[in-house]
Amino acid sequence: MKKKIFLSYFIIFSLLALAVAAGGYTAWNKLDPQYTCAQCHEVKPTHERWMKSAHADISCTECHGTAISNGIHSLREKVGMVVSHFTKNVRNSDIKMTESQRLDVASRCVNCHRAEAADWKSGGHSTTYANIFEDKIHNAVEKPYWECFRCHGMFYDGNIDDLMSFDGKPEDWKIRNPEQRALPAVPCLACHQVHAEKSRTKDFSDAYKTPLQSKSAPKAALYMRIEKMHLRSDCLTPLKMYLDEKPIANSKDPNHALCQQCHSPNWRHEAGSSDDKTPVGAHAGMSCLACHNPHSGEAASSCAKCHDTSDKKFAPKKGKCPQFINIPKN
Amino acid sequence: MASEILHEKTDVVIVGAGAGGGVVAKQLAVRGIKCVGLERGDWPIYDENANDELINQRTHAIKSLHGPDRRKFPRIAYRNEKMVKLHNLWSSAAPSIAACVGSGTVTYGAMGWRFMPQDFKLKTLYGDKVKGSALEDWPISYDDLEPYYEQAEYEIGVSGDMKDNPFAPPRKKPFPMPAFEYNWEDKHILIPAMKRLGLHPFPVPMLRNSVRYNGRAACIRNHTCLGYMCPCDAKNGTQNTVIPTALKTGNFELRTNSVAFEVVMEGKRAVGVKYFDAQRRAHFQPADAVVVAASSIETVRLLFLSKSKLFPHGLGNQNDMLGRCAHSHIYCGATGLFDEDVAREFGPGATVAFSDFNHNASQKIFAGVLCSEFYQLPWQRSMDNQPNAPRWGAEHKRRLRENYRKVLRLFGPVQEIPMYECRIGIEPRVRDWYGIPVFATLGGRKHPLSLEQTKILTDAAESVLREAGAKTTWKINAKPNLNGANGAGQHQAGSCRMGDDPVKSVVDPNCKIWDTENVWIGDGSVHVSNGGFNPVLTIMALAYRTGENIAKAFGKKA
Amino acid sequence: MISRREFIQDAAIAASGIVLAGCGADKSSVFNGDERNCLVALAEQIIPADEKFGGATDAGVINYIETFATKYYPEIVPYYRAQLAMLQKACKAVNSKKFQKLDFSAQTAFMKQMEVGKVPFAEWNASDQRSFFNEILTRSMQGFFGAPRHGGNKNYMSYKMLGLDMPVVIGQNRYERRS
Repeated sequence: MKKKIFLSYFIIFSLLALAVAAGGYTAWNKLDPQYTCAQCHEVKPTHERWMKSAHADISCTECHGTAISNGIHSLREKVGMVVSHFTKNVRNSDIKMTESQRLDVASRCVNCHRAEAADWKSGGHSTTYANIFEDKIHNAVEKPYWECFRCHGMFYDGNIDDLMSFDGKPEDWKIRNPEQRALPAVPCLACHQVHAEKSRTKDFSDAYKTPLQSKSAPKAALYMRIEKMHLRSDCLTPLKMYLDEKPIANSKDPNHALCQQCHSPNWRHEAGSSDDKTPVGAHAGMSCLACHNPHSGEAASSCAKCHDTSDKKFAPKKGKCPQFINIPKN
Repeated sequence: MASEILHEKTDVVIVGAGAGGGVVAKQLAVRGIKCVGLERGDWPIYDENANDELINQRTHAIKSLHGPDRRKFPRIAYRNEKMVKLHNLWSSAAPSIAACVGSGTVTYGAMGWRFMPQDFKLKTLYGDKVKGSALEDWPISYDDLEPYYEQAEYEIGVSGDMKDNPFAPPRKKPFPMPAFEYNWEDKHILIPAMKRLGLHPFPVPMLRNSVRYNGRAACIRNHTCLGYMCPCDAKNGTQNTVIPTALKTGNFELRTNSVAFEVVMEGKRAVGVKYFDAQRRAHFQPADAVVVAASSIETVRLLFLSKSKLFPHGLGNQNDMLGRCAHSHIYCGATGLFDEDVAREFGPGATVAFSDFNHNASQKIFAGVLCSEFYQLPWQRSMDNQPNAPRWGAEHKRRLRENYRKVLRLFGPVQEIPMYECRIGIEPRVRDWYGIPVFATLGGRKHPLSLEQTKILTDAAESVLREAGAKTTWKINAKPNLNGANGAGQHQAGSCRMGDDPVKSVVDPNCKIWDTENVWIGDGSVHVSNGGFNPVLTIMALAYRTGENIAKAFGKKA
Repeated sequence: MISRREFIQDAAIAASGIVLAGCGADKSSVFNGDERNCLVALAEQIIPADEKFGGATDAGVINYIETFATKYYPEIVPYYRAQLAMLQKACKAVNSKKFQKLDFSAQTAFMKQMEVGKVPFAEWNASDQRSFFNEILTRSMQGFFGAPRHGGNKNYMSYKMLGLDMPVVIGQNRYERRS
């Protein structure tokens, strides 16, 4: 009899404890982070940045997940954070997300930014590690090196020799970890900073040469692998570009400056060299975004914004834009 | 030290995996000789402190990129009989040579100069001018070294073209890669001025790939080159050329984080090397021969610590020559301030040189080469001010901003004249983290002729910049302090001089230590004089030759 | 009556108070408020803000100095403490104010004396004045022009001022036509 009473008390107590824990846990996840996450000094500066960002109305957990949203994996991660809080002198600047954490965050961007995500998916920026690093044509000409990570795989946790095995001929060079192959090499956070300051009161209208371009503040920030931090695109220095050693106009659009960080020219900053697509001739000074969708890279329909495309001269040619690519070299 | 970890015997132990040690290792390993390399540093990794102006091998502002660790290796600022004063930990003064696989060749500016034939016989040519110095001719000639220069140029990789240089040393084969294209300002501003003055500008030979070479990429011409690791592996050091070749043979084992502290001698023969690992455990690596290639300073330190019955004052110090004649270069030049923007800041700079003042016939002096200077990053520039201009405040900031692209510089190394009194030794009162006494410069002063030489180069640099249109120019290091010598630094050399006469030298003409049967030196410390050029290709060429000599001693063909 | 939200907040504050009782405050600064303010003022003198470009304070030079003195060389902190105390003592003797309370031009005048070791305060010897000035000069320039990963040069401020293309932008050279 006594045993039975004890058991039922035990059950009731356990249920109560569970309810409190669950309630607490739910409350924790729903509360303003200044009472939860940002209670820890390591997180405070991040929280302050978030407060000023465009995402200030989205709770931490909506992007970062909860302690159990990723099962034992995320639980272990959070316990680790608590342990190092008490055992190490961690500062905010010491906290860097791993690649898988960043990809986790990026996977949640889709919840709101559906159109952008679809565009990204449809274009070249959703390329994978395998596409980039196991490109036989590329590897036969140029051996992948550390600097490749500047533009692809910028969040990779390791160096190029950790990623790749360079045994045998260039066509045999492989990514060591098969799971890495399918991961996106240019994810959302490559060009976007979720906690970027929203209050961009600066007027960028002088940066735009044609009425085609939006006058809204730049929405992009470059992730700099060497600094392990983002740089808002309006803080980038627009490149000085040259053609036949003579300076030429280059758009002052901050977003354009960001594109040029990876779609970049050779050491002489010659328009049209290397990966550069700086417009010259009639289109000189225009921003990439005047024609291109930044997420997909698509530009085919943009000619019609200014030109009568029923005229043969202006009919869009897929992958070709004469004024952009017919640049005399040497 | 009784309980050293004992390793299986190998053929050769090589102390140091830099410009010299890496080459020797390759020369031996490809000939089937088993060798073990001991390197005090680690393999270099680009991702750690990439392109960081405060952590690199040029400014050493926060710390050196490849060490050595200031906490483990204290640096002496001042010493006398009564006291020793150390540099503050946070001081960037007196950085030592890079401690990593490849050493300075990972981060150097990579000028790949051959010395000129005259550089090997300075005493014969200029003996009357350098009285009071320890200057000697080399026991070998340029022709002896020429094949090894060629081997170094091809195996390590040099881009260059000497057709515009009438003073170029003779060569049998052209460079393996075409010369680098001139930077805009060199091509359009400096070179025309040099030509108007009757000088003979030509592209600086570089140990960098101007085209894809040896399976690695061509240079992408970053700003951050001299002092930094190459982001695309186009800079050729021993760490990405000969050392991997040696490792691939299976005959070479490289032990990193290994600090040698004694070459163990039995009579005239070395029987191995003792070293500490990263956990400060002592090891003994027995071997049939030992090559010391730890840099001019560290080689001397190790030899002083290697005392035995036959060599009670240190190995190679039978005639009190060990550590003497240590020297380097006196860098000097001029800065020109132009009225308008001239620099297009394309990396890494230093594309043009002229050699008219090396052994200039009319001036009867050996002097050195002058080159356009490497790209200066913002912090370095902020501290490099025009004489008498403010060093801080609004005016400083304005000048810095407005003049950033209005400045060009010419810079070059003057041969420092070896002096008997300039000596590297050890200071037993200060010990490093391993308990080993640290090195100390034991004094010495520069030869008065240095003033005459720096005057020639700074005058020449200034006249070129003025001719090029600079309205204001100022000299850099025109009057070097003659008190104290340049025994250290990146171009350190000469402390284990090579010679025909054992009384006046440490190693014989084959770079084997006199009176030993099997101890060789494979770095710049054997240089009798250090040339009017950056010395690394000569260090490499000598190491190719020394490696071959050792292989011959093992009965292997060249 | 309190709203549900407020209730949860209050409860959470109480709870977090218990959970986090063991936490110290943010240990980000090794310098006390006075020392820190003085350093900020000194650095701003070295690189002052002007109408177009921010100065040392905007760039976060103080963060760099703190990183230098915590992450790399904690050994330097006593030196800074002693010299800052001496500086304030000298400043009070000369100007009867703390350095950071002086107006900008008075600060400049004081630092010009300090640069050449001529602050008229016998207790602070000339070589100490000069070397501390040089320490501040070097560290401020490093903070302003160095990489932001060390705390200063916020948003690449100084690179933007110089029009420097940092991060370095160079494309792949596989497309380069070479002879």
